[in-house]
Amino acid sequence: MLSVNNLSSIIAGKKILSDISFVLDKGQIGILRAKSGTGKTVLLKLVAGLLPPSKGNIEIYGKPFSKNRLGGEVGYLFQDYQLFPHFDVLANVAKPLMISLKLSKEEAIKKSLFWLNKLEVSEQIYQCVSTLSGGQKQRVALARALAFNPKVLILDEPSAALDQENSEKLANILNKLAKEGILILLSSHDENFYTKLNGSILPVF
Amino acid sequence: MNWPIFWESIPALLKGCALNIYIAFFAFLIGITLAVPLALMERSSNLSLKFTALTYNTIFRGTPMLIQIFFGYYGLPLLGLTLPPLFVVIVVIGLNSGAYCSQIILAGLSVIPKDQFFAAKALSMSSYQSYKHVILPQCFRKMIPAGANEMINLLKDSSLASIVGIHEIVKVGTLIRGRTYETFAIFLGTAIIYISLTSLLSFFTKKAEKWSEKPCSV
Repeated sequence: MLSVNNLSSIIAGKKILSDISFVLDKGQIGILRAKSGTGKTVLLKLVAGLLPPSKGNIEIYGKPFSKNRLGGEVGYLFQDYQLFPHFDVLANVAKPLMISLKLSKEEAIKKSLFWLNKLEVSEQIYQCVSTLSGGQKQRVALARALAFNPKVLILDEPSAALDQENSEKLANILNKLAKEGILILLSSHDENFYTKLNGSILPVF
Repeated sequence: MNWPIFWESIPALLKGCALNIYIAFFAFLIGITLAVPLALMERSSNLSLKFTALTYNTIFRGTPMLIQIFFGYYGLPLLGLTLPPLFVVIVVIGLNSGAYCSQIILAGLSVIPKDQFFAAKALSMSSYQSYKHVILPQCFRKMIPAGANEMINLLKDSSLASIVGIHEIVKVGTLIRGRTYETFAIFLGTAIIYISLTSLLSFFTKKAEKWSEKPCSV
């Protein structure tokens, strides 16, 4: 369960978020729908532990805010994917597992190939990430996050750079992941995309 | 133009040039080793670290290298520290290069999106791991052209070693000129050797740039 209680954020003296609260259960998809500049990305980064909150608290399955939960319990997908351009596709997924979780090379490759295969990007494993299409980049980023077996998956405007076909593909993947028990929190103002999700719009903005 | 003297001077000039390469190579190693911590200190939110890096850069970038060599060579003995001239020249040029290389690294770091730090953090990497595996490898790839430029500058700056009596290419040329009274042929030879060396460096830089475009695999 993800529980956000009275969360506020002040960045460089400017109030970005004020008293945000919501609760999401295992396997649920929570959608943040609001105009640009309302603080959706800040809220997602706060929940992911990438930014510290000014006030309030976040609990994930009963555990309070902690930097250590990153990568283990929470997977985060950036709007522009933020793949590592100096690594090929396989290394983008495997290297973080080797670095952060200290997995052996063989284990990391095995785990990476499982997810790259599942997300249909296994044919591009030795390709430079800059040569991938938007949809492929996103699936690589998703594989990278899912390889850590997160309990919570956070996605910032995941359909923003996708065509309709890839957008539908992503919605199906996310619905499947939610069925498997992953809690998903995402921001989107793409109605065609979020209406295909089996999720609920969170009334926070 | 005296061609026989030109050809006769080439072996001696090449021998001197080997010393220039030696000086430039070790000075670059010192420079790049200092540059990473200096750049990170300048980016640090810790004011004393930032101030130390800024002071260092102001001193080494704000004074001519010639003066810095004079300080090392003539100044240190006044403090009771007399060092071999070649050592002084390598260290001073290296310290100077550290200041310039740190600015190259800072420029490289500034073009890496901040979200790359967050992406590394979101994958459970510590700050040290993020810099080691994500940020600095990208930064080094971006700084290849500027770094090669610095290496070429060092190669040219190494001729300042002649003022403390080191028999590098310019000093050798000056000695031959004193003996033969031929100026143009000697310094034409020196210039040709320099151009050949810098062209070779540019060639390898282009190769390194091409290599850096290839992504690393697991």
